[in-house]
Amino acid sequence: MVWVFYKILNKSYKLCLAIAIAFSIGSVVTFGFIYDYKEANFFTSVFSTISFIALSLVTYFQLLQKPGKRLLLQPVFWIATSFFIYYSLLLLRNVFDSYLIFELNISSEAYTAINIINLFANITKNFILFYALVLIDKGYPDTLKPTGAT
Amino acid sequence: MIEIIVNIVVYGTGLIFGGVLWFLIAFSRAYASKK
Repeated sequence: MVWVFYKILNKSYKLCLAIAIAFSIGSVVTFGFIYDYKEANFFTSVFSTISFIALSLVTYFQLLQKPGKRLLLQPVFWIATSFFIYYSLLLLRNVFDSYLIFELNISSEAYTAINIINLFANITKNFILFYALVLIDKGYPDTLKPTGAT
Repeated sequence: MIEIIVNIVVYGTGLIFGGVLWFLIAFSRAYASKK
């Protein structure tokens, strides 16, 4: 998914590359030395959440630097919005998830509210991404339409 | 303890979602005024 932002953000490819490299090294180190393979990895979930929120904020900032057409017709805005909403909704869940499951042994009934948040976040993200795909297929951004597409 | 943390997650997520909506509305207004 960093690749998506790599395609969206024209100038900040170094930021995307740095996040991808840091995520790879950090996940290998945490999986290898800190966490058991049966545990949920705290580092990967929280790092990816924070980095995607930061990347969508950078996208908003770049959009504000060069205001072009109408905002609601730009798929870049919708893609960034979908990731922004999804990872903002899952931020607290990801922070407390491994503690709730592996330390407190939460029951599935008590976990229902968090599951509903998870479902809501997934559905919202997928609908907004689908709308962005529809806009791309309509040909609204000239840059994002695949060259081979008719 | 479990209930406290579940409440923190649920209500905190609600607050964050409200903040996200407020941010998006403010961003769209700023974009429209810059255009």
